[in-house]
Amino acid sequence: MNPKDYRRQVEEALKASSNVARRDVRASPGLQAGPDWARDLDELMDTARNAREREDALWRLQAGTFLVAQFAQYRPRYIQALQLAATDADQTLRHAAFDVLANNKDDFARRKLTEGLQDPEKALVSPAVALGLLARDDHGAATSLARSFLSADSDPATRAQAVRVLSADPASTSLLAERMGDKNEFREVRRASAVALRSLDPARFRALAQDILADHSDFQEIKATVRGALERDAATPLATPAPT
Amino acid sequence: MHVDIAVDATDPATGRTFLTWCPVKGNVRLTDASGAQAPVAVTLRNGGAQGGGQVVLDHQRTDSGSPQLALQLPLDGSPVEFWVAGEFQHPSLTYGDAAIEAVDGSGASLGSRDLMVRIRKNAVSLTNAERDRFLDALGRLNDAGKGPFQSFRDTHVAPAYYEAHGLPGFPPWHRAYLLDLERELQSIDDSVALPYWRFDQPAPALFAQDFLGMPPANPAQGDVIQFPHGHALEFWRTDGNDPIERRPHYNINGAPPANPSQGTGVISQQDTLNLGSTYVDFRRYENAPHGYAHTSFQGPINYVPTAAKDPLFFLLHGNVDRLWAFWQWLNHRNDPASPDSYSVLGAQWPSNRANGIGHNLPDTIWPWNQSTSPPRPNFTPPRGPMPASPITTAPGGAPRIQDMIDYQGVHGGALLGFDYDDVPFELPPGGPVS
Amino acid sequence: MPDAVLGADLMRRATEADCCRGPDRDLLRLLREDAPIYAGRGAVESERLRAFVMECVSNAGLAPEAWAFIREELETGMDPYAVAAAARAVRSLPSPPRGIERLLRGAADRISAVDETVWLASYPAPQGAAGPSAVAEVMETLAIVGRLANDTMPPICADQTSPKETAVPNAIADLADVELEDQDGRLITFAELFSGRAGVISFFYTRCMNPNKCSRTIARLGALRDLVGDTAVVVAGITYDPAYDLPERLRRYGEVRGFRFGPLSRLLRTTGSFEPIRRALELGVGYGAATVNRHAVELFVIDRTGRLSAFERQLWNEQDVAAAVLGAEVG
Repeated sequence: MNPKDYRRQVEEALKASSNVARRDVRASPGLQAGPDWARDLDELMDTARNAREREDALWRLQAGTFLVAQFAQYRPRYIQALQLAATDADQTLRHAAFDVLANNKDDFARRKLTEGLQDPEKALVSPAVALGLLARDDHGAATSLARSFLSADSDPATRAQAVRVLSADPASTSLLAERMGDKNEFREVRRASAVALRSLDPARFRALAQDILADHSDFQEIKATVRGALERDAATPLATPAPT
Repeated sequence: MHVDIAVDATDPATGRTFLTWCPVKGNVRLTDASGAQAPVAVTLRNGGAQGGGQVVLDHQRTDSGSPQLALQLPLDGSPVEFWVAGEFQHPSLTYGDAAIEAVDGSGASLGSRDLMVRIRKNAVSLTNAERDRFLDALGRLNDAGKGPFQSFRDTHVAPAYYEAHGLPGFPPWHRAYLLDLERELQSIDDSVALPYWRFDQPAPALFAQDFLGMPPANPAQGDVIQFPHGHALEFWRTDGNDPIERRPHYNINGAPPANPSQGTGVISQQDTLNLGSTYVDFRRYENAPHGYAHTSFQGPINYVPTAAKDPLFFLLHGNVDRLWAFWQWLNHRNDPASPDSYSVLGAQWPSNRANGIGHNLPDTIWPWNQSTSPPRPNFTPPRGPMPASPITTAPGGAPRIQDMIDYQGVHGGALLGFDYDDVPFELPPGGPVS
Repeated sequence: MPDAVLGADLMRRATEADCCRGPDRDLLRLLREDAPIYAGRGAVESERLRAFVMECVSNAGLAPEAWAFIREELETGMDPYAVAAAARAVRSLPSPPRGIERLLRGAADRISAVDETVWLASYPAPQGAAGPSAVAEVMETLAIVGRLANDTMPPICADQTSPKETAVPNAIADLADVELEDQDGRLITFAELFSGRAGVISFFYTRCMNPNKCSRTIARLGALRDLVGDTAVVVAGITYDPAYDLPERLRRYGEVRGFRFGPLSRLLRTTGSFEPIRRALELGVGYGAATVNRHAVELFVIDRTGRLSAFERQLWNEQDVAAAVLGAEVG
């Protein structure tokens, strides 16, 4: 189709999709007015309000953070609102608030998540979620907790997230190698261990990967994982950006 | 008898030719006249595979080329110029499925040049092979956290906020960012173009396990994407140890919600275009739909300093850029000299940027300008100069805001070397510009 | 010791000055990154605690003696709590240096996009504690300093252009047998690397989250190498994080930042523990559970006799360092 015909088609579709001519700037009042973050903050902090409405307010505010200069004055109060939402009765709202706070490496969130791992009565999210959120900060201090869960917890998701925390810790290399090689371990945990070991000790990873590939009794999934990694390692090295 | 066909958009190192919708120059010459006594009449035409990319040809730079072009070739082998472009809505699926063929009066082939009409496509329309090539290149760019991808992640960080967000340069900055990434991907596999996530439409195929994946169904199990074993992104890492985490808080069998009456959500393309026909009005799309597309998920993608850890970021911004490109085409907004195409009017400058540096038309763009002078970020720019392309000279190592606006060279400048599947090349009212 | 008890003890020490001995100067030592109270803590947690220590130092009237720490935070800090505490400490200085406004504005810019409410009255901060934001604290200090400014104040950069003698000028001799591995996996001892040559050592790690510190350090070391050219001057970066920063990581980190490798230009890690170097040079670095939790900006100039001087807790530029090390080479 040539551009002129395509233009006609597009313009007709635009006219048909709205009640006003495309070039008239008469879009909805909401789109013209712009966001109302002060109102959204009030809604998020209103614990008497429906949790889904509060969650919607949270995501409107989070979208606002992309307009950095305009949102800057609201940010301190937004962080406080998130900390409040992180201890709310509604689980989904809590998870959303913790997610945003964890991206911000918020210390209040760290303390609450850690307390919840140390004392299940204080847990505000599941252990897997808590470990996963704490793992986002590789300068955190959750490694001893992660080792505890890896040694004692039988839930595969929790174990996999514990491995993720340990992927920042070079002192955990032997433990990770052990999990990677253990045929009795959950496959997600073995995979997470393989990925972590490849980052921390590439030579050890390669040796263990070769062992897995040579072991006829080992599972196809872990073989596919390590084979893919070895094949990519063997590919032509990439050029790094030229120095300026 | 034989002819040689050359096209400007050819990589001198590999001899491979890549077209977009934008016309580029070519030439054809006789290399073996085989006893001809007079100039030889040839026809240039599509020579590619059925279902592959198609080209259009013309004697001059137009937006209305034809599938065939008749030329007279001198016996002395002098080149005869022509113009060629990919035919709109007929992109390639793989390299070499398109070609320019020269035939004589009897239809016998005198020579051909394989090429690719390489176009940025809607991610859900990719073939499995296209998808896998893209993912493979992306995975290799990341190289389990050791590759150059980390430098892209290190560019989209809090100290660089004011280079790229909440201010007029948001669209051109991100256009340059995507172009940089795409050129790095093409240095790995030159058949790859960056796909986009059309976020106002359902895209379940994009979040299928063979593509960008999904986290465990149970939220209590965490938000790490569960790729199949052996997937190209299985070992994806940023900041040393972080895998991809992402959990949609909408049903991915539909599109993220929109609430245009409130001005929130991932508003439709039509509503986005209806924001206004001037740049000052249109760039409000940074909030809705752009900001809401980011915050449709739990995970790093919903926060500016961490968003680029997730490869979905680049497909999301592919659509953000496509929306701008579509708006530019629809409203004839390619001329940087027009304030309707680009303007800093109404910008709320932060205190350290009262002169709007980085957002005025002639300003160079960080990090590619390598500046560390305040108010630019004073740390080492994570990316070097904009990588050169083998098929175009634009935008240069240190692009300016104005260099990112007329990406198709509608007004006669050099094209940037990319196009979108649903945004054509169209000359401005008034005819061709050579 | 539980955090609440630690916090109360610190505030008590800050406010209960001994009538005979004066304020508790041991509080100043707690500003060092290697103070035991930070060991094992995460980076953010350490910043919060250290910000509170800074506030205690101010309350104890010791801000003038903490100037190096205050200045460093305002020059490179990115944590809102830490910057706010430094800004508040400036108010306790008897005469704020000329040029402090530039540092304060730069600090406000760095944290403006991550601003949050800060609470420095106690540690840890209670949930929902209300107070000014970090940027507001910086702006308040700017307003105060603006009222006080006059030309008799000393300029801020008086001591920035040349290195100072360190507390451990002869420490290099203690490190002679420490084995290092470079970005290409080659082994070399300290003594072999320096062996009667003048040179420069700076410290970094590839996981550093503050681009004003380690990323800048390595880029500037690269520029330094280019400035001193092919002179027999050693330019070395040593990682704080040797278990993680394997040779391949060191090489990539340097390449991306324009560090030109050669026999006298290397990025290195210890093959054994980093502790002997940390101890011998009294480095400003602390460790959390898996990696560094905070570190100073520190660069050492070594003359041909092995004597050390240093640029500490301030951003250095390669011109000044080049002048210092070339002077040290000539002797």
